[in-house]
Amino acid sequence: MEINNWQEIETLFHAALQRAGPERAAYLSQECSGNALLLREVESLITAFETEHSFMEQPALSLGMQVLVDVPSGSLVGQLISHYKIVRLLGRGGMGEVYLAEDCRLERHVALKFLTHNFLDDGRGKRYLAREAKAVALLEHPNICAVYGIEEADGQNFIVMQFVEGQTLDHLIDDDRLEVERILALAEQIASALSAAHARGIIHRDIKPQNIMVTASGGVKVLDFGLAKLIEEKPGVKGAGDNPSQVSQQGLIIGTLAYMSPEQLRAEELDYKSDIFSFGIVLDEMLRGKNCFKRASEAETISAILANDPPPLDALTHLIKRETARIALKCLKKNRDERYQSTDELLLDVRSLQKGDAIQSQARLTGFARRAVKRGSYAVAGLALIVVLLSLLAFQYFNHMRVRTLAILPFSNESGDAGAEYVSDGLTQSLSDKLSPLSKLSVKSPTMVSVYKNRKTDPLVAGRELKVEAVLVGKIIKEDDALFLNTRLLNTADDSTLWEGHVKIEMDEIPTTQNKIIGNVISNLPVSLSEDERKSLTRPQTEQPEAFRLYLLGQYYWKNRNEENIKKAVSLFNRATDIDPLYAQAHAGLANSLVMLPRTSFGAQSTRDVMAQARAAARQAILIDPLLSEAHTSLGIIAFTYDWDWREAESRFQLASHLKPDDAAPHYWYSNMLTAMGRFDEAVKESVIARELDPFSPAETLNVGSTFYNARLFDRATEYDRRLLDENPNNSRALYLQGLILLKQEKYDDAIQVFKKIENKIYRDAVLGYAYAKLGDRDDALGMIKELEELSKPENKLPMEKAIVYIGLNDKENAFKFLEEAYTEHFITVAYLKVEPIFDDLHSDRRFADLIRRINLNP
Amino acid sequence: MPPTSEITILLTDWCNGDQTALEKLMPLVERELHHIASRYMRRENPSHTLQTTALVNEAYLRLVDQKNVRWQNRAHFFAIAAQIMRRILLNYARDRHRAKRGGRAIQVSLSEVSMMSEEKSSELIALDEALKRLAAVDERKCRVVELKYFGGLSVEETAEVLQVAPITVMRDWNMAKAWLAREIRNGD
Repeated sequence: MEINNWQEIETLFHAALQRAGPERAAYLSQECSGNALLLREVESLITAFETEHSFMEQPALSLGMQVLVDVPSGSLVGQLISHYKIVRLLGRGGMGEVYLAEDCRLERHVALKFLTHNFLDDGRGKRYLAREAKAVALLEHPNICAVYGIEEADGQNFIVMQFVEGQTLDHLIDDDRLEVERILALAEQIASALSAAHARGIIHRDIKPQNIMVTASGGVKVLDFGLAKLIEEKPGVKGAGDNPSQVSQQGLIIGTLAYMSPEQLRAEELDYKSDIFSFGIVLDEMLRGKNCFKRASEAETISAILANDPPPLDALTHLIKRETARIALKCLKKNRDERYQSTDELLLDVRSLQKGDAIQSQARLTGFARRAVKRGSYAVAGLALIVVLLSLLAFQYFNHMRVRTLAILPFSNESGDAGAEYVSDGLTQSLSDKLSPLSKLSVKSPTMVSVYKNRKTDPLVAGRELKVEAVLVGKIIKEDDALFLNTRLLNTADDSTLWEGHVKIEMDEIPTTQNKIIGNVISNLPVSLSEDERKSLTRPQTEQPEAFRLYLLGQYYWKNRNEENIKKAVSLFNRATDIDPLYAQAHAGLANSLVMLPRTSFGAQSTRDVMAQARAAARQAILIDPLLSEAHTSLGIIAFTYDWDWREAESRFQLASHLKPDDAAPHYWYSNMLTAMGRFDEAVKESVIARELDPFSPAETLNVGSTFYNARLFDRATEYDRRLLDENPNNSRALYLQGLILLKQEKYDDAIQVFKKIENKIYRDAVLGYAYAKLGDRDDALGMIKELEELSKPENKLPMEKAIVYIGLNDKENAFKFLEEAYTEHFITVAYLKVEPIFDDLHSDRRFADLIRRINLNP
Repeated sequence: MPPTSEITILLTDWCNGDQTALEKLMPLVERELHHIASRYMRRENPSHTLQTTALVNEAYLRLVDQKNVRWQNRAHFFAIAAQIMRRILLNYARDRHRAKRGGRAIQVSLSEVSMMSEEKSSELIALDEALKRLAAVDERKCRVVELKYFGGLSVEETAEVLQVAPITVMRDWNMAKAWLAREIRNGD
């Protein structure tokens, strides 16, 4: 575009902005008289200015910071590190950067891999790097990218690798349909790389198309034996004081979710069969053109890997293709013992198929034979069932103590030492976290802040209420200046004590204390554990006692949450993750706290900022432990209340409750989400489940009430609300709900009396103003607006609250103006817009329908 | 030479018109920003995290020897940080774009975690192109955008850096915003 009268344009632009409507039009046409081009130029600038409100409004700095954190700068280009001249950045990812460099001594090109500071800070990254290099340096194979060594210069550690030119397999798959001959040629090379590695006891752990480089001549180089781990340590491989199994004990899972094996997702001990599974996905992908487990969300992807068979491939008429698919299917068995039992066997099948020979393996069974086998296995299964039933009967007969369900009641602190308070709460929580994943045990861990912990309800009564067979109770006492935890396992049926324990609490060694208790409890429960379960029970959340202590303290504040305590929890979880960056639970705790932060705190932060941090924390937790229920719940809450991404939210909540069936939280949030969508029947069901799981929690009871309220079943809502008010007449949330119900029954005077009992002004002013307005008391209603105005802060001008009063006043212009503000800020209440009865009066307005559409719902 | 004095000298040189000093300064500042950003994102109380200029200010305080600089140097320092931020974001957006289209063969396999949406990266690339065109017509407006948008500076701080009145910054900003928004939309 030619701009030669820039000054003139700018002057007119500013002057016109000072004027509005017809005056502006008149001004411009006079100033630009006869110069249509100039007029159009200025007008288009003004239009752009007035329509693009949000453009560049939020500085890019916060995004820039995230990029800075996660993506190193690439600033090494041009530098000389040791005797390597860095030529250019080849790529970067979550863990580090890879550069092309010139080896000035040997005069060849090499690739250098640096790990990010995040991973190197605590020394673990260095160990990781050293381990990788040593393991892979042992491998010499034409299909494995060679590792020359690991070096350190200028305080940086890096791996020196063979430089490979080519394309990664994912690009080939994207670009065109691969011929079956090509697929087999690639598969043969990948499998033979794996076979060579497996023969040396090295598993890859991260096989995926992005890790497989294909050169121009079609040769394969498998890259990044990054997570390779020596299954069997061989003499001379292990470095002094360097324990290769330590890193995996942390449960660190790095890799792309959609290519992980089920056992990898479950953070179990891996063997080479995990690689065979991932190889199966890659092979299938070459045939199918896309990953067979990858879904729209992470949660669905995880479920698919754990539970679904790959969808059948479109009618494969080509014989070789069909056989190739069969090989992939065999690799993809969920149970690792049903896969190829060695990589050589797999390689053999691929090779014989390549030669056009018939497959020698079981995969060749014809349809009839397979059906026969299947029938047979049903018979076997039936037989097994009978055996189990018989042994169960025998077990009951000989052993009246049969515990399958257990409740862990909050431990009480009777030491007189207030500092031990968080330890008692923390131990309760972490015990239940440890025990609840056990497949043969259902563990309930009710929040009984008011009922049990303070009022000392009889544990047996609580146990019966919770419908469990045993309860674990405990108290912390002080003897000779030392703290002890006394625990008792009670049989709910006959009041008998199944086991009693007395364990000293070493404040510096809480993880050890916890393990002792777990060991005792488990050995006294008649459940048998699988080897994996036994391992996961004793695996500490973190090996850093201080990080664990901070985490417990954070949990304590989180459970007793109010605005101040959530902030404390945030800072404690932050410190815990600082000490141990691989502490998944602490990251999840951080996410959980941050997700709750914007609602209670009307502080200096925007919802957007807090949610961005919460999301990052939850993602970090999932990166370390993909099956951490709490982290999925957090992501669900963000998707629901902030992104209005209902599908994502639903799959997160479903996965979270699947992963931790006895946890009320995912059901609570799922019920809220279903309510907000107007799926009331399902919402009620979920809210009732949540309450059954945590029957003493006022929040869960209130939630059932609120769900009924939104479903406009006011009598049922009142029923639950009453229960809370009977227990505590000042419960402000219960009062709030009571008032809302009265509003819908048009009992405005009564509603006003109820709302006045609520202390929190922000909480009550909106609905109070609404009630005044409905009574025709305009001045009092406007008084509430004024009060809200005074309570407003620059970051939160309380738009939703003001909108509610204006709805009462039937002032739709203002109501929509403020709703729009609330929408822009993504306040949590916006998600409930469609169903909340207080908005009923707006339903006929097309602006309302428009808003609902913008939060991705059907009006 | 300790890094603090080196940076202080480079900064003073640059303020005195030595352009080569800027080239040496950039990577040093970038490394420090990077360092501080990771610490902020991981550690600090979130209510302080996103105060826009705190990050840059901390880098400045850490890198520059306070006794030996004039106050104007601080402004220049912020200007550098804003430029770095612009470049980093642009590179990231481009990489994302490229990775999406799968054009380049790369030897990298570490899982890519992306925090920038497709639209955002396209917008950043288009913005950068438009900014270059704007700079050709009106250099100062381009700087205003850089400082305010990429550096997170307030109107007053921007005015200080550019040695103009705040009202001028405001006018430049409005005009630049309108012009850039139109350019980017037309480019779609």
